[in-house]
Amino acid sequence: MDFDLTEDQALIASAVRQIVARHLADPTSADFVLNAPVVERELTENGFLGATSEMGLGPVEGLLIAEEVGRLPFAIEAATSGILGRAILDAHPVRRPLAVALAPADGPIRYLQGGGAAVIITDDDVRLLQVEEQDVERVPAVFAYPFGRFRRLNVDKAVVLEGVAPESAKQWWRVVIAAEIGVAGRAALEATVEFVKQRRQFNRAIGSFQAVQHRLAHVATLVQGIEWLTRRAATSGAAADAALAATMAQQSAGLIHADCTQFHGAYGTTLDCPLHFWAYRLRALRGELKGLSHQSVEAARSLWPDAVAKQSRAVRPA
Amino acid sequence: MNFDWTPSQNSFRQRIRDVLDRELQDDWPQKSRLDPSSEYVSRFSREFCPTLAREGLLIPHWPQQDGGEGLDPFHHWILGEEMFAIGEPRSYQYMSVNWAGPAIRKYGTPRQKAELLPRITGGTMIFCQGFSEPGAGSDLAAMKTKAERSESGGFVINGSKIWTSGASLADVCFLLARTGQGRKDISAFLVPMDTPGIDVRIVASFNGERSFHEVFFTDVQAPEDAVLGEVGRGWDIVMSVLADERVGAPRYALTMRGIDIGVGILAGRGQFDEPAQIRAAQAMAACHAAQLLCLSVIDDRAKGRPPSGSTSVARYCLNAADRLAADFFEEFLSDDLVLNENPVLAAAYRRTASSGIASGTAEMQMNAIARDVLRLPRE
Ligand SMILES: Cc1cc2nc3c(=O)[nH]c(=O)nc-3n(C[C@H](O)[C@H](O)[C@H](O)COP(=O)(O)OP(=O)(O)OC[C@H]3O[C@@H](n4cnc5c(N)ncnc54)[C@H](O)[C@@H]3O)c2cc1C
Repeated sequence: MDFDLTEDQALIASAVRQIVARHLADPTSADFVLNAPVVERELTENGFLGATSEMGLGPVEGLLIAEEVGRLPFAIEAATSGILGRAILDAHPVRRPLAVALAPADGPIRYLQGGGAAVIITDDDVRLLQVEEQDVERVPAVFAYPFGRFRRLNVDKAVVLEGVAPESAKQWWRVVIAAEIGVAGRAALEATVEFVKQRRQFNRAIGSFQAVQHRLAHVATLVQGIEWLTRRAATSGAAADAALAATMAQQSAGLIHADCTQFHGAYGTTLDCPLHFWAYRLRALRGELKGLSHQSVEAARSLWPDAVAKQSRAVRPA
Repeated sequence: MNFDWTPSQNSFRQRIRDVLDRELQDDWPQKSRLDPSSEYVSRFSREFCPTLAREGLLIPHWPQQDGGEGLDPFHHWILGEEMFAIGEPRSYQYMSVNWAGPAIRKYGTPRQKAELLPRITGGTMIFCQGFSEPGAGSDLAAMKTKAERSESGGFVINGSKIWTSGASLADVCFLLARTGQGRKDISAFLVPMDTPGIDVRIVASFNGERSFHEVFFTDVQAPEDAVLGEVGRGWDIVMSVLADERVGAPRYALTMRGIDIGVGILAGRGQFDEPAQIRAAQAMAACHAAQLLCLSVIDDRAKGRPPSGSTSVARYCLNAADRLAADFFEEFLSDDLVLNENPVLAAAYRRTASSGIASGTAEMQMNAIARDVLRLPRE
């Protein structure tokens, strides 16, 4: 048991943090979804993004990188390729951004973009698809991620990833969800803590009111819990750990987003307030991979396989 | 980062389980009801703890020169997990080995050490903790119990303590009393419970048979060397030894076991349907989060880092997990709770009610998180 990063991991995290720190204050536009090709290029050139890593980085490092990149207001896909991509795509050359969806993949999909790639999980296998411009249309932003939708999807044309089980792809997707919620939650919390220290009402900082302090303290405990569960899931590669992390994350995302928004007052509901970059990521992630209840059932299945199997037999019609 | 136990930690856990298997009879759950405050468990502890001592499992985390094995804080935590999950067969002797003993080791006079430490390390000494008072709970420094110098030497103690766990089972009270006018003019005393003038009444509670008492001190004579450390330093002593305790008891160990047992009961009846699976898994996820947060504190401690706000985060998460577990129990196992037939389930459920209060309330943890972690301004 050692909760510290290894020396290499700490070096990677700090290198990414330095790049991110240079751009944290950048956004000037009030768009819902911000692109940042310059930052993205810098991170890519340094070998930090993508499913294939020349430096031999695995999903744990992918998570550490996503934990840093996710603090940026820009929508930069780091977690899906860095965690799920590195865990299941192995030697396949994959473009970014990487999207992931359950077949038939006919709804809006996070980071689905022409020029990128998509992992499609069917009942029987997992497929990889290079996504072309003409295959997709952009979905107007309601949440702070870019979403696309397939105009037409021919799953048969996608490459079947031999030896990758659908369950394994879903497991790593859960780690991605937990990672994204963890970092968006941390960024939202930090932004809110800063805000409540500055904003004064009744002649004092609103952050000095205990009612505000306690709810933010509660948020802090949720964020820390999610972070450690996610780190464990990325490290152990165990299905139960991934399901527990995603369960904790999706069950906390609503409260984190709601309280952080609440303490910004009306300002928190505007596009001027940078909080929305994280609050509206948290909201988007609540329903991913069918949402909290499904993650919870999956966790139950991994924790208590016999009890769940017994139940399935009990309710099966004669 | 590495979240696995080492082979030595695993074999240490196995050693504890072997001893528990051997020493706890099949009727342990029924007889003990997993209530460390019961007379049964307390009596049991006076035989069981000497056995643990012989096995090197009573004070494995103490330094070798004090009779321990010098094992790291992870081993101490593993011991706590195994004991808590099974209903704490050490009864209140866990306090002796966790903090009262270390306090005496650090601050005790040669006579105090010679008299008390062998009984602690031999597994026959039960302490109770006389801190809280009717007017001094979260605001402990508001205590009124007074120890005044007597003309014949020593001190005369007057006042009353409340919520004292195990007071009617204990040999010695680790008592805090006021020895001056200043808010923190407080001293620590080691007072034998059979000293004339001490009157103990059990307060009935849901927590356990003898979980709560009122302890009245009327002109109790305490010799000069009943004081632990210097007069007026009681507050610092308690803060420093309790900082060693850090996250306290691994409560999640029993909560997780209770959830597992609840799942087993439901599955046996064909009632572990998706709604139940969802609630059970959500409670379990919170328990795992609490466990990792506790272990991160233990990791800091093993690396010799000073206590930080993480302790309060972990403590608060224990309570949050207990609440979700109680939701699961009450929604899906309410008949079983009423019938009270499964002692583990009953104990896990019972414990969830006090985890936000005992040894620092949830709100006090949140105050600490706001101050030490988020660095929010004070009023
Ligand atoms: C199972 C159990 C065993 C115990 N064993 C012992 C023992 O052996 N020895 C011993 O000395 N004590 C013991 N205690 C007592 C325990 O330490 C106190 O209950 C605890 O410190 C809280 O004090 P209180 O009960 O007086 O509650 P109070 O301090 O009156 O608190 C009541 C409520 O007010 C809130 N509150 C108080 N102050 C603030 C604040 N500043 N900000 C926000 N909210 C606040 C609290 O958080 C709580 O929700 C035990 C308690 C339990 C439940």
